Amino acid sequence: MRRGAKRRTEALILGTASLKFLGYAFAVILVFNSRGSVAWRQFVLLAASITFVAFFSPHLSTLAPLGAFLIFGLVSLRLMQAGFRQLLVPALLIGVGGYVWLKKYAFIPSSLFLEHPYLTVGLSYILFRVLHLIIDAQSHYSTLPAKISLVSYLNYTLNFTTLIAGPIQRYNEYAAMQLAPTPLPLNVVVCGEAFERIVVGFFKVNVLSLLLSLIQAEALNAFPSTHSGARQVLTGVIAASAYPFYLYCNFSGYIDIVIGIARFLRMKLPENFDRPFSSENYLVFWSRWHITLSSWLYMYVYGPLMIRLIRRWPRASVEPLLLVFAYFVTFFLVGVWHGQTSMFVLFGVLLGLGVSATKLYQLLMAKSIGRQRYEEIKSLRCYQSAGRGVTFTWSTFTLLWFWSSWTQLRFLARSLGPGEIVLVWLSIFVAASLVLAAWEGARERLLLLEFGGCTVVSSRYFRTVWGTALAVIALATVLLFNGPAPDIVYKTF
Amino acid sequence: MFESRSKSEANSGPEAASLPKRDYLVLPLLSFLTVVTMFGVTETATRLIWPELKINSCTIEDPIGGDRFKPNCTVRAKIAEGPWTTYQYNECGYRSATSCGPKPPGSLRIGILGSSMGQALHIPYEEAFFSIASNKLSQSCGRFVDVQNLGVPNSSPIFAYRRVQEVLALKPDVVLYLLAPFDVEQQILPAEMAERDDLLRPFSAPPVKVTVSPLNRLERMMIQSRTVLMAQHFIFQDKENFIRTYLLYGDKADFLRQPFTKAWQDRFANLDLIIGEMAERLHAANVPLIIIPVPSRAEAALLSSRQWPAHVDPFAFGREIEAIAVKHGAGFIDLTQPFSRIPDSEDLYYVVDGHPTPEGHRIIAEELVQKLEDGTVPSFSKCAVAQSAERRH
Repeated sequence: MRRGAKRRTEALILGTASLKFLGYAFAVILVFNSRGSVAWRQFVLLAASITFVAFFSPHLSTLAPLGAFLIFGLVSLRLMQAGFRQLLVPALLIGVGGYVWLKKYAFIPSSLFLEHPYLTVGLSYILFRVLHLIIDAQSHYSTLPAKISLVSYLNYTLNFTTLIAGPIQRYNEYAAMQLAPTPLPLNVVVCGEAFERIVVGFFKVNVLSLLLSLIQAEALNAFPSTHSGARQVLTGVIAASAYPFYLYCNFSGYIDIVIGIARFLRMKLPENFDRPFSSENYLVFWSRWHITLSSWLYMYVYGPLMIRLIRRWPRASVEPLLLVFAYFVTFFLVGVWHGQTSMFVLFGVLLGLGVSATKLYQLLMAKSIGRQRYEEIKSLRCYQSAGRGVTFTWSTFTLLWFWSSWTQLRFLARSLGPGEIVLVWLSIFVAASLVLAAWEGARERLLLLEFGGCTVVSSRYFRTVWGTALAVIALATVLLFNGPAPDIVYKTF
Repeated sequence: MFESRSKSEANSGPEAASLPKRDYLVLPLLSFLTVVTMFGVTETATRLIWPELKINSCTIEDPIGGDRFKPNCTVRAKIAEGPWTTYQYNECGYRSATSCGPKPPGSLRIGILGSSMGQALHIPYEEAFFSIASNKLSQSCGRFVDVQNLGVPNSSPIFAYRRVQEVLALKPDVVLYLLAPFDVEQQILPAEMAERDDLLRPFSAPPVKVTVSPLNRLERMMIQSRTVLMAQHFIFQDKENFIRTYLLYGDKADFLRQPFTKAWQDRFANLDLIIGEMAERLHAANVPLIIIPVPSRAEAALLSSRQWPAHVDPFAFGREIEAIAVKHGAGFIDLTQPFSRIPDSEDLYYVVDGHPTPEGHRIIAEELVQKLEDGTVPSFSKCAVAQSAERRH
């Protein structure tokens, strides 16, 4: 095998939740913890992150655009810290424009793109970090340190645990841990919990997401040969509803792994998921799904946009409309960020419609029946179940523009027909309402189970047995499946 | 954030700094017990799904050394990866459907020496290479072709050599000797080589004492478990994984490496001597000998992958056997060529067990028939002519 091809294969393996990636991470952990000084920790993390990036690129020249982007970020940061606040807007335009150009968004003429191949892995997450630094550095309320060293900047933007798929951490949180003279403790309990997190994540990616992707693929393949109406509806339900669970296991599993690894590296990464399918409305869903992305957008898009809109139209009567509009814009950007084609523009529109319609509904309900009555209705079990059903159905529907193509959507629409399409979504709503309600009920009961004065599921004995079982199943699946580890969906963004 | 969550359970509370002392023992023990329990459950399940029955009730000790089969004995056995197989032995203890008595008038007879490859282990009789070849040759020769199969599993070349007199007594028209790398790998003691012609006396060399530690016993138990077998079955289906793992075996895999190690050079030197004397005796009785080295699954995997690591050569074993055969005037069937032409030829073997499947036997049979029909064995020289005449009609 040629060296370049071999290196690319290594990169594919390292860029997933593979055993090789875990092996690499644990090697870094051992070296990282062999000394306690800040300089040593900084040096090891930087070396590990640069080596990690180098695995993705067979030639140094392919790293040039990424390098240029990082240099742009550093120069902009220095300019902002030096007081050149008037350069903020040009810097933001150049940053976002450069990102859009490097990611080859479809609306840009292809003649303008760079012809030779280059690395874009992690560029999205680097963009969020760089914009956060630039914006915060020029703010009067900035809590950023007066000087951010080159090594700290590179470690913050290129940290190999968060490069591929986040989570997006704020610089201050990162620096408080990584640059602290006394690192976060790493005792036996912390190690156990970090290891448990890695095992759970490894299981989610390598067993559950693999299984769900196979189920969805089988359902999609079954379409041409499925003729009976009921069977077609069932196949449609499986093909559509397997994907959100797959994406959740794939993405949150990888995040679990990197959170566990980072804890061994004396860092606490922010949580990115909090049981999103238990959300009773679409707004709550987005505060539990890809949490660091929605937090970032709340801070840097929604907040500033709302301030500007209220300043422009300061009347209280239009404020609810401005709120709905700001939601729409923010989530439209979330959708567009995910991809470069027209599919993702519509994905963004649907996300925006989902959150703004939810907000509008909440405002109208509170206005028409009163806030207290509305709160009473919201606490009803059947209302909560229906809310979960609607939220799941809408997120499943929007994700159609995330995982498929126009051709595939046309094929699915033709295979099903209008009546069956309606039945598919009705079935998903009913099934999601019932299944998620049952799940919530079972979970509540499980959390109430006590043994020896503490809940069973939080007992370290139960967790040891559970974690070991997951590890055995995951390792057996990896060995028996014999294929490459499932790719991390969010690596592409 | 956009909306406060209704209920959010924090992932972890304040981190406790240490564990009670007993937990340093209890938690690893719980982990270990979980693994053992899961292993037990999997073992039970895999034993139900992949049953295996290995019965040696037809095997007896051969006075000349090694094993042989009881006359007129029938046994049904199964390996986890293969089908149920009935082994039926005739009045001489050979795996043959016909009597070992005098050749039926006008018929031709093939004698087979070798180990499990020759005996067609795990293959139903009608799908074994010798059975397929016998049927085809009977058709093409226009006369019945009888097969007397003296193959016994785990026979080293020296036991095959000790059966030459026995096979000659059957008045065969040709003798086939099938051997695989793992037959040649078997240790031959200097005393065994020295006493190889003394048929009335079992080997005087003391049996090799093997001390088995409890750890070895546990390791063996694990390796022989159905769970590990099932795991290996799936893992070794991947060609690259299988080759990579196989090449780690060391001496066992050194027949694939060039130049051969001293151990393998010694094995080939012994084989040269044994085949030389075997051929001499058979030629003295005007019986041609054909040597058939059957590629191992590792060789097949390498052959079909078409690229192999440095110093690894899947043709090396066959080339060495061919040189020995040519040197002693024996015939030779090169199975590496047909196996290298088949994509994924490692699929012609039971993955873990390593013996050829019925499909693998079909290919061996085709090559054998072709060899016997090409006129190199005088008794079969008319078969090709008869067949082409039949085709003309």
